[in-house]
Amino acid sequence: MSPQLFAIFASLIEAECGVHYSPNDRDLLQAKLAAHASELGFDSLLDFYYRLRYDDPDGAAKQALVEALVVHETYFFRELPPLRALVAEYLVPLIDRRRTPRVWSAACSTGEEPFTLAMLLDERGLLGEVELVATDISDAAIVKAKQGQFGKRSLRDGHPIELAQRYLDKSPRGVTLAPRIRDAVGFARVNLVDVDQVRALGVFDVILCRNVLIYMRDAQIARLLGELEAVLTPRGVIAVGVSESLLRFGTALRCEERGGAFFYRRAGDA
Amino acid sequence: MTGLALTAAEQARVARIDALVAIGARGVGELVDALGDPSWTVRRAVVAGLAALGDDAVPALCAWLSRTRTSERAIAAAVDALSGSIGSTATAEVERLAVGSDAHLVEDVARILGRRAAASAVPLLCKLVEHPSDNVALAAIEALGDIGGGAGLDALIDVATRRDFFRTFPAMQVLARAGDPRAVAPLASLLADPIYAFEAVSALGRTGAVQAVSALADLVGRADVELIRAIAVALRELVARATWQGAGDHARAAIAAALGDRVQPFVAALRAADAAAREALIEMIGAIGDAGSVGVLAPMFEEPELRAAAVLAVQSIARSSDVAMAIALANDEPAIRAAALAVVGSRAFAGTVCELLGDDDAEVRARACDALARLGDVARVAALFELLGDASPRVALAATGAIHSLGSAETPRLAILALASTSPVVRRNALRVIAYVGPRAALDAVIAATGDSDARTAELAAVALAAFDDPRVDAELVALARDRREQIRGAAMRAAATRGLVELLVGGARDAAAWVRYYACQGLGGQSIAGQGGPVIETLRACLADPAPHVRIAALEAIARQPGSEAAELLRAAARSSDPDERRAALVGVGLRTGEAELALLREAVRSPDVAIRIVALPGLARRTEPDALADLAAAIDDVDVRDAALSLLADRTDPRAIDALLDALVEDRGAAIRAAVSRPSAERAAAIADRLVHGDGIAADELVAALARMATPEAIAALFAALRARAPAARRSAAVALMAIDVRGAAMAVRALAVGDPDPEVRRACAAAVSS
Repeated sequence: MSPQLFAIFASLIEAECGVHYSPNDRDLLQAKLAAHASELGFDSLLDFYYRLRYDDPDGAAKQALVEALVVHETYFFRELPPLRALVAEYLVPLIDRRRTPRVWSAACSTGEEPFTLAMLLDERGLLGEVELVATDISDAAIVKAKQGQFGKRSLRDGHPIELAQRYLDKSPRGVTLAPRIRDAVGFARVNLVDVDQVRALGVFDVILCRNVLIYMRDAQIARLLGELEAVLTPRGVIAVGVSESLLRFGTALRCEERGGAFFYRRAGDA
Repeated sequence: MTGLALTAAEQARVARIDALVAIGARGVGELVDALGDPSWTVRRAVVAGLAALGDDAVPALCAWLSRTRTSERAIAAAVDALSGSIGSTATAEVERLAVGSDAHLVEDVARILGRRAAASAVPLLCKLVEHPSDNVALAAIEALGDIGGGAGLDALIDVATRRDFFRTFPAMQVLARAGDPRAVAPLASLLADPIYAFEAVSALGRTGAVQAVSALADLVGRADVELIRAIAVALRELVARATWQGAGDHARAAIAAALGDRVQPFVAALRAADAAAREALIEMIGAIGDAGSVGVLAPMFEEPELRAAAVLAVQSIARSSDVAMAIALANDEPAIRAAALAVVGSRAFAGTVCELLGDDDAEVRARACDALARLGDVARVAALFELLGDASPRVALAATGAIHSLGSAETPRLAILALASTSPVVRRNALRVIAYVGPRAALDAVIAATGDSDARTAELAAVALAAFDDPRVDAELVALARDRREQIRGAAMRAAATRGLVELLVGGARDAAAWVRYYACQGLGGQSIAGQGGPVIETLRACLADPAPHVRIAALEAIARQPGSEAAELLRAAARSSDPDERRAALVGVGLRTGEAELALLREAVRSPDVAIRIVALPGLARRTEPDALADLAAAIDDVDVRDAALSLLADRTDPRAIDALLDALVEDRGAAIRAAVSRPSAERAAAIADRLVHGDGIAADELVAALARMATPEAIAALFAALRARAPAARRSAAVALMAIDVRGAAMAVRALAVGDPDPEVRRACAAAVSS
């Protein structure tokens, strides 16, 4: 893949779904693109690019490309302590004030994160007290999430044994989620770079946007954070991955530490 | 000077300073008075002005610094002005200030001399290292580090090994980056002292010296878990620096030899280590190459930030022995099997690799296909055909590619068999194989396949027809160009392009379907057609008005390959199109032409906000010999989005001006990408580097020497030997150390001779240390 071809594809993909490929990712992108384009009958990536750019009136070809490119990198109980802190420090107090908090797991992939949160809530008898919304750009990921059937790699070493035993049924073929947990999460397809789709979800008390921003460029992150802020309730919080920080983006968010984890809320909120 | 952010008062003061600078020596007094101006911007203007006035300002600045010293900010400004002064007397005048008893002043003197990289001040700075004031000593140590090139090494070694808390740490840091083998032993001697052990470990890593490996390895047996992590980080740094010096393989071999039976402490240190330490530990586990440690890397593949390091470590271990490779290929973790498959190189593993074609994991199956192709075992080609219908497109594509690579005598028969499969996916991939191999016996089956019920199979069959050297093919293509199915007509155009059927393509360019017109235009730009003029260029010109954007672009791409003034004119017009794709397509052709107007368009394009347009402009600029074109190409190195392309194109050129531009860029910005470009093997570049080393003043000698060491061609090695006779001691010393590090034939004898006979004592000592270690 020439540098020129890489540049035009990278630009198109970033505009479509916000994911940024740097020049170092050229081989990776080429491998994914070549297989996908070949499957669609394109031996030339340039021909495929023109198909996406000029002959995709309903966006189906671009959506299919995004499906082929997105990374479904998640598993149950990933970065668990911040989720526990979220429940204890934010959701329980809101429920105590007779509110039904709305939580959005943005870019949830195959759903292991919102399902983990659902388990933590159920553990406290609070599952019905919180509205859990989970979205991803990939239709395939959402279909898989709704099925509640997962591969072996969805459960990794070091997971909390008791929680796993209570909610997950392990077999040689993989992991089956307890139907009660599976049905507690509402799924929808949302492209995070599409402002209308994001706003149509309504406002949230908590937004989980963990390990998503690592795939984006700073300018894209800043735009997305602006959108997330717009759908955050007053005093609502955003959680990002443990290795991510929002402070360098100069947003109107401030960081606060609760229960040993870091969360972000609008600077003006008390 | 203008400054919209300045207040009116500040603007007035800056204007006054500009005026004072303009009148030269007469303005110095008032400028010195302004050193303490409360505005940072105004002080910057004062500093710049005094520095630019050179010798006219030096005496006044020195007098002010030694006597007046009104405020911290004014002192800092005076230090900045003297540090940057262009005056030829500045260094000597500043040195004279060190005779006073004011420790603050002497500290400033040391900092100025360091920032001026004043090699003549090394003897004075060596004395100041012993100054009663720790602050002065610290400034002198740092100044010696700023001067570099092994300046004051003996004094630094002395102060480092004396274990004076406030001086030993900074001295160790400076020693670490001295690039002199003499630094290793004194740093190693500090490993036994718990106060200095961590810093000494880190410093030994930063030396990049292979000699430091054994000292760090010896420590492993008595180190706690924290120190093991520090050792791993240091060894990782050492390998990186040694690689830069062309001695990476030696460093890795030294690590494997020194730690071969001691991988366990590194494995144990993985638990609860932070990400940076874990990455280093993983790299060391890989470098040690113990077959039994492959499995411990499995959990690392679950951490996105560690995965790349884990892949490299597995590959390093797998390459270390057949036993390790067998263990890796049989590991339960698919990522480990995939990583090992990427480097398997012995045909003894063909059977194992073949078994992995049936792996549960798609990535493993794809890598197994690639590996079989690499092993060249044609007897296994039948197994690859089994994967043409794999559920994963990536696997099917890899199998097809491997079949192409292997090229067995069995391939045509198997491909024809596969074409009869009930699976359309298998039939399609069989056609891809047939299109590549072109076996005459398959022609009837391929013609039949153009009527396949699966549209994509039929399309691929039409494309595959181009591969047959048979008179029936052209007639078939004429018929297919009239097929009712749009995809088949488009495929016929692709085949017609391969066969140079101009008339068919010209007709296709008027087809009702946009994609047929697209492929027809694309075909008219084919190699066998370019230059035919007449109907071709007329057809393409007409297509520039096509309602479908991709047809217009394909026409432009084809025109780009046509010679002549008519094509050039069309391209120039399109090179300013508002559609970025049209503009890019035109710029490709513009870049192939040599006119002034074309150069102007390329220079405009390389400044475009669109990354792809900037990248497309670069090859055109690289083909030009005009200084402006070269300057733009060199400037593109600073553009992070096109940097790699610019460097690659610049490194492709072997003319003196391009080489100079690349070497100047190396001296300015010592980034990894520039280093890689400079050290790309080229006899001309090796000669140019040798010339700079032999006749230059030693600036960036370490970088230039390292580039030759990485190049490692006979010309580059010869250039390193030539540099042993360089005018500048720094160049001789760097070349000697590098020759010993990469361990080339004759190096020891040449460096030993330098250790005895070099006129510079520092060079003699460095050479002696290099030879003895």
